[in-house]
Amino acid sequence: MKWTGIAGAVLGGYYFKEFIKYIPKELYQQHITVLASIILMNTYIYYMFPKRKAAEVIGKEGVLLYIILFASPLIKLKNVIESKSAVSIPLPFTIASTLNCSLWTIVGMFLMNDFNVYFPAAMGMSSALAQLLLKGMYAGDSVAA
Amino acid sequence: MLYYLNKNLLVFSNLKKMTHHMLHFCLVLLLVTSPVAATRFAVPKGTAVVNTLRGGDDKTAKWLEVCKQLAPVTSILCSMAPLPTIHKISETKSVGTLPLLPYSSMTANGFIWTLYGSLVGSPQGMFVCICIMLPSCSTLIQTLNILSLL
Repeated sequence: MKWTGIAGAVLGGYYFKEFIKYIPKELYQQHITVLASIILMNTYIYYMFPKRKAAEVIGKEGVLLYIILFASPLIKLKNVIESKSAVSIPLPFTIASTLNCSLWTIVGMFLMNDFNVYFPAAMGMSSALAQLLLKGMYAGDSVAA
Repeated sequence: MLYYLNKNLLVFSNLKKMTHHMLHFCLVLLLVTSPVAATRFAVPKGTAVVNTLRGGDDKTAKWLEVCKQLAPVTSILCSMAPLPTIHKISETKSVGTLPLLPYSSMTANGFIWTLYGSLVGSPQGMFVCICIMLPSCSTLIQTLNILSLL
């Protein structure tokens, strides 16, 4: 989980850094402030709180952020249903996402028995499955494309 | 499943269509195995799952161990998914209509899970020490970078 988190943070930071090169400062200022607050606040919790309490607080924050991360593709679903075209859903990523979330659900539920792991993973799996369902329903155009 | 595979092999001459349907086959396989796994391995909350399974069914424990090893790999692969998009942005020097939120939330998410992983993991050996040191260093670097941008 640690290595996954490190890879996610490093890659996410790289994408963020590349992205903000090409947008006006006022568009990313708010993101940077929130990001800096999250990093500082969690570093404080990590070092100052008792271990169990810190894990509880940081775990719940992780659940919330995971929901935000997986909710953004859900916004696409409305457009897909309206336009009846699944071109905007990337199939390889959705498959990888389904597999990833399924594995974390299994590991979180049966090996770790940790709500903070299996709940967001199950949410992500539902989101990815909904996307796959739509991709299957409106696949005609996207396959040919 | 055999019928599905057979249909794929006979009907589709086009490689793209073949890949598409093979991926569907993988999904069907996953959908079939997941409920079986869920019903077979379900244990009451708070039970020492690994020990119960290890004592009861060795195959199940091995299968769960495979899942445990594969989960971080698939997570890293999923994190690498936006690389082509970022490469395209760098080439065209334009973000188009893409939103920034997925990338900022991914950074925060990765950071939070690093901390959580360090907190819930068993602190044994140099490997874990490195795992705990790395997020601290990356936190410091990220914080300094961000503060310099403000």
